[in-house]
Amino acid sequence: MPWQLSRYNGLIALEDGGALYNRRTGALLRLSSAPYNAVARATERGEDGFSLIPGGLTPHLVAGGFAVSTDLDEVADLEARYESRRRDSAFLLTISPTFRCNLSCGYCFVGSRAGSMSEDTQANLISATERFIARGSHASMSVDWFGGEPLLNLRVIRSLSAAFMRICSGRGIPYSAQVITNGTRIDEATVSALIEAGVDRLQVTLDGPASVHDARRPIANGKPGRSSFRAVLDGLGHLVGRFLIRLRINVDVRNQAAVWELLDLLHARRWLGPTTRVFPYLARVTPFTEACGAAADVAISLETFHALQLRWITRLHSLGVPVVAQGLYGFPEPKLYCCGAVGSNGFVITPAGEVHKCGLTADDSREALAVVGDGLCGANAAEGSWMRYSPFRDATCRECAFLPSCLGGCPRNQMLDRQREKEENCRYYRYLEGDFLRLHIQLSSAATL
Amino acid sequence: MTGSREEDVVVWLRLPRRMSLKELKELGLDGAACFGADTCIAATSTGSGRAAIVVRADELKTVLEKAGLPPKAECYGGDTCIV
Repeated sequence: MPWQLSRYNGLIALEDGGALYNRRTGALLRLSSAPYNAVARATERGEDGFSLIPGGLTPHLVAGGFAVSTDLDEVADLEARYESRRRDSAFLLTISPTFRCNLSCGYCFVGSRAGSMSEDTQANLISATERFIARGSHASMSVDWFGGEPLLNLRVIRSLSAAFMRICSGRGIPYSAQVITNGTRIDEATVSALIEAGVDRLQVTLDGPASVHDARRPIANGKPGRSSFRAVLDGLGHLVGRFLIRLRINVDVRNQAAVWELLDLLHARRWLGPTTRVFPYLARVTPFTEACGAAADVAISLETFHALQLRWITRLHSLGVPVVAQGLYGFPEPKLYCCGAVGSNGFVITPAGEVHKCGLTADDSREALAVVGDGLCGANAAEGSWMRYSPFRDATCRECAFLPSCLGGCPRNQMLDRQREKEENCRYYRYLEGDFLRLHIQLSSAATL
Repeated sequence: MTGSREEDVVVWLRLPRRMSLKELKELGLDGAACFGADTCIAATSTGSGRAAIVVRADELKTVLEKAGLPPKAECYGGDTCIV
């Protein structure tokens, strides 16, 4: 069979040879100098370059998708896979039982709406879910509890979870849930309730040591001296070892230096290691909604954040945290589809029962697809625009060698044609991928070879 | 790295998918089945008769399961999928 090199190969030169990464398959291969140089020369030559590949290397290149049949249209193959995965996406509800929050963080992207979910809305959501599951053939159901602060309305979480678990059990499909929380409202009773509600993961935010965290994430209308940091740490004490915890650290110019002190603190508590299932990760504060527009003034550059991120991952690795296997840390791999918002089976539910596709639009009723009383699918203009969106319709994205890793990035940024965000997204994949791959190779080799 | 000539060593750091013993053998990787992603790290050479596995990291699957981690990343929902 005639072969050609894949358009999605990335070549990473190393001291003793190099590595190949295929963005469509995710395969990663390290080669010594002679085979690496042969692949580099063949890549430079272009269309007829495959003749330079040594015969013994070909089976490896084919197995990893680094070489493909000359009659394979890789873009069409990728597009077909994207459409299939998008259409059959996992059934995921992101539910805000309340928009209320007990913190007042300056960079919060959730708007100023308030209100909690009524019993009528809960009943409508349960029957809409039941009908949606009955109509499709879903392999699983997942719920992300979001807010506001979702644990301010634990009663709704308990009641809806019991109903969802009953529905899934009746259909023989697995159910799982995570809570995205500020971590200030967790005690033993909460832990018991969460376990009963099928929650196995939590995302908790901690922005630095006490003085830093309390300044960035103060208790709303709190008395002077009350510490949200202390409350989160107490909460984590109940959670660690019982749930998978993604510890989110929002980073901007004001706290980038303080993250190391926080890491030392987590380490001193013995919360980091191969089996504790605590994954602290850095998230760059950016102004992605109007509500957090002021974040632009304090955002750190993509390159500064990237350098911080590489140091962070290396340090976690040295503490035994299994970073290479954890998708949170940004090691390149092929995406199935770019976001739950463009998946056919992902919905965001507000406390008032509005159904949205994107969490960032949840405080704008004009963006709602439907209300849960009418079902989860609205088939209106708002839903149509999400379903019609495809990065393959953009000429630049379609031709881009990084498309399998990126899939156009955030669909909302593409749909709103947000130039700065789009440009940063391209820069992230085009110029920083090699650094992540080098680190991946270094950490993998150190761990096992 | 292996007993092979250094200039033609191939080290698999991430397989594109789970591969059968037969497929692995065809690549000169003789041993335990791999689970795709980063669960198998093995080295071989491109010349015949010089295949050698450096590490069969099949125990990594157990480590991943203990840690509650999938071998491939997923979208975690909420704001965790925003790059």
